[in-house]
Amino acid sequence: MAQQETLLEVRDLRVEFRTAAGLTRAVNGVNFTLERGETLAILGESGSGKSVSAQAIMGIVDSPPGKITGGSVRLQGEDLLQLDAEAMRQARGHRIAMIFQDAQAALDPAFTVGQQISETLRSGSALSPQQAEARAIDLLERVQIPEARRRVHDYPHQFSGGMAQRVMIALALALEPEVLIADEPTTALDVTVQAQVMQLLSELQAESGMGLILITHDLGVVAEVADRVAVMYAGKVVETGPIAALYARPGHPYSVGLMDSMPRVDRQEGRLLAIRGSPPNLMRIPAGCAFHPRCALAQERCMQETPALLPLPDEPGRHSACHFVADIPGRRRSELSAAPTGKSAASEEPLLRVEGLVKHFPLRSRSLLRRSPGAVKAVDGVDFELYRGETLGLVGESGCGKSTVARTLLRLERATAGRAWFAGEDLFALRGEALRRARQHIQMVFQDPYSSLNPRMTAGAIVAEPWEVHEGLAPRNEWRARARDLLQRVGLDPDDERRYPHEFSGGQRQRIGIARALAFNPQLMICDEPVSALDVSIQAQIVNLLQDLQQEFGIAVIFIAHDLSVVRHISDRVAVMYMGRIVETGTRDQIYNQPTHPYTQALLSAVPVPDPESELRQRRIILEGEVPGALDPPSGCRFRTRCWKAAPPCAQEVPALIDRFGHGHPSACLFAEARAPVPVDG
Amino acid sequence: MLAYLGRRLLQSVAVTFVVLSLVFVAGRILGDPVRLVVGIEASEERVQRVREQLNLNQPLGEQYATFIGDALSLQFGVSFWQKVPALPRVLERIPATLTLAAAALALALPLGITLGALSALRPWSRVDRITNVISLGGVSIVEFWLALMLILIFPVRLGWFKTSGYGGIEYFVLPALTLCYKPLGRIAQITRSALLDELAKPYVKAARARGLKERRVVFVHALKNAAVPVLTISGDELAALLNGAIIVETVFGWPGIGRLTIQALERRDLPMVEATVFVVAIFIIVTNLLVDMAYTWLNPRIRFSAAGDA
Repeated sequence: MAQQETLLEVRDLRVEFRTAAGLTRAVNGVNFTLERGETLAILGESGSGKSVSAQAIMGIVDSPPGKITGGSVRLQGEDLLQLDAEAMRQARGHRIAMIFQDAQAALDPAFTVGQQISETLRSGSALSPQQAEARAIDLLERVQIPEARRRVHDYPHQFSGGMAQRVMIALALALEPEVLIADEPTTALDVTVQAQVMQLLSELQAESGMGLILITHDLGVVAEVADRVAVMYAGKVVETGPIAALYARPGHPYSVGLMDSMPRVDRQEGRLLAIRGSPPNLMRIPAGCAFHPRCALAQERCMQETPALLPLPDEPGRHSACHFVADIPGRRRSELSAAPTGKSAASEEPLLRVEGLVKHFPLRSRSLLRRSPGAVKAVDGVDFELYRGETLGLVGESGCGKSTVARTLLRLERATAGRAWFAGEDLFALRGEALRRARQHIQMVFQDPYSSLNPRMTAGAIVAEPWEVHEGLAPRNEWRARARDLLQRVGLDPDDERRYPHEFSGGQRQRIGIARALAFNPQLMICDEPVSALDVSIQAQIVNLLQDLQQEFGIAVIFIAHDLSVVRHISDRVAVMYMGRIVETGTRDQIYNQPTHPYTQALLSAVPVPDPESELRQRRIILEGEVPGALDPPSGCRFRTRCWKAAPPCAQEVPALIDRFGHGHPSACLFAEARAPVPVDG
Repeated sequence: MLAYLGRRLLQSVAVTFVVLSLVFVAGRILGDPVRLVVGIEASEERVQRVREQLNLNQPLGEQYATFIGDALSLQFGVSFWQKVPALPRVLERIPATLTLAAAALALALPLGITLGALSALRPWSRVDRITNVISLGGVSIVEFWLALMLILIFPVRLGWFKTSGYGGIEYFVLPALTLCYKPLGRIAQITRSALLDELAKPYVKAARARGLKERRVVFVHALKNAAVPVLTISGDELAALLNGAIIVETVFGWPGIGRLTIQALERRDLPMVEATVFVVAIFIIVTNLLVDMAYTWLNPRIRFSAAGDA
């Protein structure tokens, strides 16, 4: 960032989509600039117009129905919006390139990655096929793909998610663009892989001096890599500025709300401060300041007059679009003492005890003659206990077996081995009526609030269905009143009972799902990634709701998530899973403040912290490689292939999950050692 | 990939056996073939003689073994009607049927794909609507009606081409045109919907973002991925064409397998019927095998799935 040279200047960009349902104003006057060598983060929730802005800059908005209705996009002075189609095509890839959220889907499955890179190279310059392939191998090596010479002939489906994103980056860099737009490049990746990819992007940017626009909803990722931020809401930039100042003193009520509603891995706070309401429907954007219906500072003026993006006095380089910028509290809420949760009394009998749970999925043999080629060892010996009214956070990366544990406990899958006692009964031995009763007491809240509700049933009918299935839970003449009551308890309007799922937003649907689970009057609720499909501001609402309900009803909760920040926020105890086994378990404070297993340590240190001045970054552990296949896991300790402490004994001995330090904090590592990657706070 | 093809080949052999067995059962159980041959009036002595000739007095199991053995050595016996071995007679008819099928598909495939692609590139436009009318006509117009209309227009009114018979190009144009319309319509419909699906996928947007030419994005990337369902339907259509375009061959007096099948059935010529069914079945199995091989080229995931790369 030494020399100031404006690469890209976007002024008053506007994009509309005209569909049968109406006119959607996705982008309503976006302004920002990007300097050479700079990383600008565009931060916003879904529907804020950040991806559409990027596509408009690239000239790849689907048209029809999309249309760029105004503004300019100047790349080194030249307005891209004025170029004809052919000139714009030549600019794409050459001068401005883009990578996408789901790299697997952004690569053509029918061609090898080498063919796709070569094709891109040859579209830009007169290379022979041999030269292009050699260059493709160079590029794959540059994005650190092992064995590039061999892998250049592989097809996209043969790459893991993280490797596919590297291929995508290689493709984007093929023609050496001045500007790279990365649209949620790590959202689909596991946290340890996410850290690798972000580091790679930063290195490549430093090497080439290109400008990077990073589009994301994750405040942590932004704090890690961005120089400046533009916060978007309802198709507009509401605030821009250098990262440190903006995070320390947000200059727009929406930015304040975003930062407060984000759970943090380095803090634990009693209650997340959620922004009320949900983002606006882009067909009916509120008049005046689009944020006013959700804003605590809103007054008459905000409903009539659209605030302009104006420089902040005394803060160089910062702009905000708020009429009452002066009234925004200088600091956001930071030190709220953690409300002591104090739920479980360890003397009690546990509600659920799981011992040696194993679930293998045998692979179907493809030929009648050959024997079965093996089994995917999804869960391979898991033990834990759960007390009444307690929340156990089950964390791990995708494929670690955490959801399979949930499915076997619900008896949706048959356990291969192991036992589980629920309220004193042998859960896996239950049949018929007894099983039905147990299932009533164990309820599930699903990840996807879109597909887990029957679209043909009203909210009221969905919530009342359990009473039809389990007779005796509620008398029929009370169903309606009770359903209305439950909807109200989860923060919906009782009159919503007549509406259908598609009329609700994602967060509201998740509330219906929770109301349905509560209707069973359960003793145990298993929440499988209940907030990972939701926007940050909505996530906070749901997490708060779950906490309130749990206290009110005294339900035990297993909270399954890959997001360590959310887990820290909600759990009493935490179990960390890796490749089908629990590697470490303990109270929340033990896990987050004194992790002893190298995997937990790496996982915690890989979580992006939404604080640009956090000192955690210097002590980051970035793991190498990705999770090995569950078909043929490494011998001994399964983590040893990625572990910096691995020694010969790790390959021989399966480390037991035992209390190695005598304070009730079992760890499955031969070389377990406390380390505090996250400072004690809050 | 070899494992995949090997598996497909084994399946084909199994299917051939099933087809042969069905032919056997249909020929023996659904009526007395001897009575069919000699007629109801014939003397008991003659019936016995023919029965022996045809091996029909043995137990069913032995008959079956003999039949399968003969079929495998390509012996279907002597045609009752033409008094010559049946199979060579059937094989003689193959070129006529094959030419017609090849011509119909050679017309339908490029035209259908082009029409479908034109539609998909501009959905709901005028071009799309016209194309939809054309392709809908293809799948809904009855073939014999179309054949008669073509005869009325070209040979009768305009004096072009011949109404029926076998020979040069003038005999060949009308049946080929009639036959190509249905596959054309279906291929156009499938191409349209498959290509629309592919064009909405992220890799198309990503290919545009790399600055690839629109022509390349659509006709290399999207079309290759859209080709899988198009290929499936083309295989089905080709199988239908080989099955002896019975109606079209009859209307135009075209000496193909279809017409032979009808004639053999009319004359209750059991060996001939068995031979035609067998030959057509083999053709269809080979077509499917070729389609399967083409899949592996179009979709690399199939190629690798056999290697345990899940």
